[in-house]
Amino acid sequence: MEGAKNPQVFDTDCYNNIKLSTVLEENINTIKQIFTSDETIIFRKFDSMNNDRIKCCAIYIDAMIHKELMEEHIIKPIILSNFTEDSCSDILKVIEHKVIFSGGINRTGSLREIIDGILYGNTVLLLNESDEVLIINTIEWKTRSIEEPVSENVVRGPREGFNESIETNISLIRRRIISPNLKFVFKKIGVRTKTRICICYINGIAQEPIVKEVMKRLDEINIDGILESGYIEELIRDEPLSPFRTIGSTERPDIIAAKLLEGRVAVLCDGTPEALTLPFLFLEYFQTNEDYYNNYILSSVNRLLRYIAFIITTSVPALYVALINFNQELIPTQLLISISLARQGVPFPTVLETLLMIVTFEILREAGTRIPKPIGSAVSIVGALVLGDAAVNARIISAPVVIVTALTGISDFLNPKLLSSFVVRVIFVLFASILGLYGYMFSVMGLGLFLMGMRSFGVPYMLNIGIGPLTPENLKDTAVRAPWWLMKTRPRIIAKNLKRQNNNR
Amino acid sequence: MLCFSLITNSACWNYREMEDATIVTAAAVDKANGKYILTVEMIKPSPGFKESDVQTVVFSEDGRTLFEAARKLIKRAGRKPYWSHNMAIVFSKPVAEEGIAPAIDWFRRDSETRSTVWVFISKDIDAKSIVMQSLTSARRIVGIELNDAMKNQQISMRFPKVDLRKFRTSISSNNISASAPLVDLESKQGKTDIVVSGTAVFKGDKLVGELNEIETLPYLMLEEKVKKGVIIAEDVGEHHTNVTLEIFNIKKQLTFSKEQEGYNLRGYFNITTAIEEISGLDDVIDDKLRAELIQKQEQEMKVRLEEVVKKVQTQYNADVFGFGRIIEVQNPKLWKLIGEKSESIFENINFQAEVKIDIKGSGRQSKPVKIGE
Repeated sequence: MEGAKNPQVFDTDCYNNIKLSTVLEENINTIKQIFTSDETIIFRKFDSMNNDRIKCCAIYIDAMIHKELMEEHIIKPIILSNFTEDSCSDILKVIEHKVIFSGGINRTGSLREIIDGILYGNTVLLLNESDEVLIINTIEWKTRSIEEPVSENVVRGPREGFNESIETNISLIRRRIISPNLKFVFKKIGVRTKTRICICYINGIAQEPIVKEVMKRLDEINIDGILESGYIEELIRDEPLSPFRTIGSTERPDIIAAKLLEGRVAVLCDGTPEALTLPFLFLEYFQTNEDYYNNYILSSVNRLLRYIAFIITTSVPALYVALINFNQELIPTQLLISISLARQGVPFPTVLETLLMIVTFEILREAGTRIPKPIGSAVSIVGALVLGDAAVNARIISAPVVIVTALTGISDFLNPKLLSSFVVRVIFVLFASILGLYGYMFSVMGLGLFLMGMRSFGVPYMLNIGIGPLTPENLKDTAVRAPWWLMKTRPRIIAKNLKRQNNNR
Repeated sequence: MLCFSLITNSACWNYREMEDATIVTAAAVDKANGKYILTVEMIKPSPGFKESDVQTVVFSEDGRTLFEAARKLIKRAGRKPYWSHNMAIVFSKPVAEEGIAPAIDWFRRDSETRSTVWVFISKDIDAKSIVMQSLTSARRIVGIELNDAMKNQQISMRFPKVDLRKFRTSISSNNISASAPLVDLESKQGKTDIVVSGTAVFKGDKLVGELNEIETLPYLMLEEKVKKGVIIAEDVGEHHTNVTLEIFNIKKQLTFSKEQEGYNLRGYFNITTAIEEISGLDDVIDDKLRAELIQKQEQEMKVRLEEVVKKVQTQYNADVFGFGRIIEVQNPKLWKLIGEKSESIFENINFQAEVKIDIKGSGRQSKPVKIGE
């Protein structure tokens, strides 16, 4: 590693050169020195009942290990066991093979591995007359139970969600895809946090170039800590400056399983319930897992609603500004009269008014997200009454703008993951305020070009190239969701093995 | 560079706030002392949210041209009138009689005024007194009243439906003459209503005569596609019952032929109707009476059609029916020959109507109201 020259950052590397001795007390002192002023490390010394030569020391961190397991399956057998004289040539081997009851034992002499093992919740067993140790898996952390994710509710579908433990999350995926081709590759990222990352894909469905590219980008990460998968997302994504995501994320194992089956790659990160999926396409913003569980007509209607909501939430303020300020002749007379009356006496120009209300809405939304629940109702009262009604009555803003903002805001909630719509909305309004409908059309075209030019791990973001002609075959799972018995192939552009079903229905 | 020229050269830089302009809903054009008088009804710029808060103001201004008058209005109203949502223009009779073309030019030429605005001719009164009606009540909007009347024209069939585009095209065209609805005020029980009824007949751009609302139905049957309307048959049967027939559809076929004695135009009308009201005791649904009713009505419609054509031919000599169009379609060679002299032909067309009435139904009742003995 390039940064090894700098011991300030790569602190554990400086122990590489220290060798363990064969004297137990010396080894204990070496480790104690490393963990100076860390009182959570426990050094438990004990001897064998039947053989005085055998002196051991178990080193572990309280609260990170399964205590009973350690006591019953490590300390107890060693104290009680009968060591014959001739076995003493390699006592460590005897202990490893014949004494300790544990599934995961690792024999090592590297001080670095020992330290990492202790810190990760393993128990390290030191033995006198040996310059090697046993690292025994006794990890038990307190984790959250498996609950339904708060951010992704469903009416129909599995209620399980990921938690913060990567082992639990992997088991949740494993349970859904019982196949030896389901591969999990681990990496440790974060020089100080040493966060475990797991790349997960199905061999034979996922395309190797994509998997390789993910590995390559992950290896290039050089950062002190990864606390959430968002770090990874931003570090490895395409189009780093775009407000649109090129890597998806979810807390639901069923979504991950579905994406894996479509040939995508998932990246799990220890310590967070958010797993990443890639490549991520624009239309995935509008797909939910429930689409695939419910009746296909219902799902298609809901999906179309989500598309419409995206158009509304990005366009309505801009269209309002354009119509009111540039193209009044397009508004029906009666509506024009009532809007005109509502605008009388309002001090701000329509653009400013609209932008103000858009920002106000975002403030309210943000306040509602972070606020503790008991105060939550205050936000809605202040928001609805003061900003809505009172502001209109005081003629600070006009009533139609409140309606426009409300419509925009509500539509925004249909695609909760599409956070970039705020940016798009403001840009649209600004363009519309300069050039009217003409400007609005310009900005829509600009957005279209921008999205069409994006790629996620080599896959065109809008599926604009590479899927071949726009045949029904290629559009089965885009704007609508075709019935399952029709979706006989996987999405063409991502998966390698296209065949999905073999039925003749 | 491209963006800059797109913005500056496309005339799209036109940001204006809506409350800076007042919306014109109706306009009237009169003429006095050689000057045009433009009277406009505008939405009063008073703050409000509800429909009932809408109030109107009326301003009047004169000028040598209409545009001058329109610009002078700004100093009265304080704000720029916004013409795109104007729904009606009323021209006074004197303006129409001396030639309406100069008066409509600005409305067609300006970029803000619309050609979908309805055109009216005021009958026997000043055009501005129609628009002034909005002053009688705070909530009255003359423009909307006139617009509503036009929307229901298909049902009443008592006046033609003419917007500025059609009006102007008809004036310029040599195969049809222009017509416009007449508008009048009618006072009943202390309340004055705006009444649209009858047709103003133009020859060129000059008003030459009128058709009353009875003559308007046959005129409309000839000129445009009539879908709705009402025929009243009087004095049917021994109890002198009046029967109202509602028109559902009219199939018409006009055939032009040139013969030695002159030009013939035969009109064939197949009217589908239903009995809508029987105000009397006779059972007209009965075969005999019904046949009598149909026969009588067919005869009456034939007479009405032929009379209105005769009247327009002899008194006004203005081809409001668009006979020229029919000749042009059916005999283009002849039309080329006639060219400019189309008026002389219209005068000499011998029009004959043939009417067939079908009664398709009798509403929800099959019998007249019976009186117990």
